[in-house]
Amino acid sequence: MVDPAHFPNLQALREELVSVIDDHLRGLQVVPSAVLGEPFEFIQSRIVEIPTGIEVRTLEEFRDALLDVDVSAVYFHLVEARMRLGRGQNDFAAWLEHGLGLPALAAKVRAVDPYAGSLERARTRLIQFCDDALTAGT
Amino acid sequence: MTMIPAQLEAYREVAPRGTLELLARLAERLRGRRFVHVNSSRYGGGSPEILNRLVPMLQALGIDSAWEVIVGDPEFYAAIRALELAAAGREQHISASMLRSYEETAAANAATLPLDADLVMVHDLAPLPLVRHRRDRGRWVWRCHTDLSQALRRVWHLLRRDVGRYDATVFSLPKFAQRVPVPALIIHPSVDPLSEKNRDLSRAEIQQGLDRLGIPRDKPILLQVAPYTASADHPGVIQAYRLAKKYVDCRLVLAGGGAADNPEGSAILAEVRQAAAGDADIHPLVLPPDAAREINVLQRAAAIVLHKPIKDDFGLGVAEAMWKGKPVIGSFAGGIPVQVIFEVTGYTVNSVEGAAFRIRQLLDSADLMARLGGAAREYVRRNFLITRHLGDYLALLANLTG
Repeated sequence: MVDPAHFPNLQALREELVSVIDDHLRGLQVVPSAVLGEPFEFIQSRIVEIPTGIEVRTLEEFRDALLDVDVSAVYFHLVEARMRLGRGQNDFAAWLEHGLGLPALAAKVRAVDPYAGSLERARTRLIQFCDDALTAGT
Repeated sequence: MTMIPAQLEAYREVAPRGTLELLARLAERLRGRRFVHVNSSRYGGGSPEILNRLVPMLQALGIDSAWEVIVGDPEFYAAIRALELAAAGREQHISASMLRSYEETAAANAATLPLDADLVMVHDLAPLPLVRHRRDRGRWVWRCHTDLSQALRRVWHLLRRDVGRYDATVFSLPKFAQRVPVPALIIHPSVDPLSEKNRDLSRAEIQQGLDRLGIPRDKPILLQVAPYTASADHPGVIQAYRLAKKYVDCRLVLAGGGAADNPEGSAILAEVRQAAAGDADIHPLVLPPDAAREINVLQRAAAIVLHKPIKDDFGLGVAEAMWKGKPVIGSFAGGIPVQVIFEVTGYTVNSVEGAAFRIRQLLDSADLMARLGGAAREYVRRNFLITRHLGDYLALLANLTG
């Protein structure tokens, strides 16, 4: 399985996908065609960045903001950030580690797999981690 | 703290959290820009239904928005009707004088309508040639609400020249688009959860509505809301109901319009009535075009909503039913598979037998109906509410006007 989270950038991911398909095609006598089914439609996307105006300075504020922001903000900082910055981690984990000095919590947040479920599920997990840390008195 | 206009604040209870703040922040960046929509009618479904709600919301957010309507003579409207049918793939005779009327009407309207704006969005075929008269200022987008993929070659050849004069096109689904020489953007249509067709109704309102329509509530109701056209496949729906009824008792309500003003509709309705004769549990209803409340009542009273046309545009009636927490059994036509996620928000089926099997399965399990219905409502909340649509239009304005 190709896991998008394992690639440093989109170009590397693209090359892996092409390589997997190329390898598959080499083993076929007849190339299948979606004559009866729906064709695959390639869609290009463009992100419009909108500052939410929300700034947080503590873990408690971070947790509360996470609860309130549009889910697109969760996508932007959790999923898109990995590829955008090419640093192999998301914005949330980076801030928790370097901004708040909470490496253990950052490691948990870094390990959240946004592809394992919905973005709302990922948001719930992040809030749960924050609650655990706050309860433990971090 | 971001200020949310009162008109949008009403959506806080229904939109996903954070949505209103996002819309307000995006609109703040675009304040002062002028965004003009043009179509050919203020009434009816499609673009009028959505513009009636979206334009005031854009204005409330501080976007200088307007909605202009082109007008023409009877020959112009006859030309539009023929062009729309040809664009949907039905053979039509389009005379030179019809085309002349189409083009001259656009020229006359372009001379009088205030189309000086940062972004002009032209909806559907009727105002399409307005773009020939665009001035230097501003960007122009053609918003096509229908499926163009089967357009007759000669007609598409004519339309394509005008489409190429726009800066971009917007389609509801990738498969609805033709190859165009400008960027084709995808924006799904939406439902307004606060409109008369979708707002919450009390039990008493639902009961009164059913009483007025003569529908008893003594057994589960299967519902299809679709105009009386051949492509809506009413016979297939009746057959699926009959197959399912051998195992589970239920009623079938067929609600539609389009029978009064065209011979095809009258013929289909007569066939449906004939098929229903002798079965008191089949209710063919003829609804007027403004029957928003009645449709709301029926969708809320239904146990399952069926929507299995052979051909369809986006099929937004599916999202309307899903918003009311109803599992939908749908065909693969148009935008139905984008809304009905198999075994998550409902079932997509290929056959009458498949539809009958899913009716039985759902009516046999209240838990399954509740699970799929609940997921359906949440799916619509995230993807098909007017607040998402508003955000898409603001993003388009931001993207195209820099």
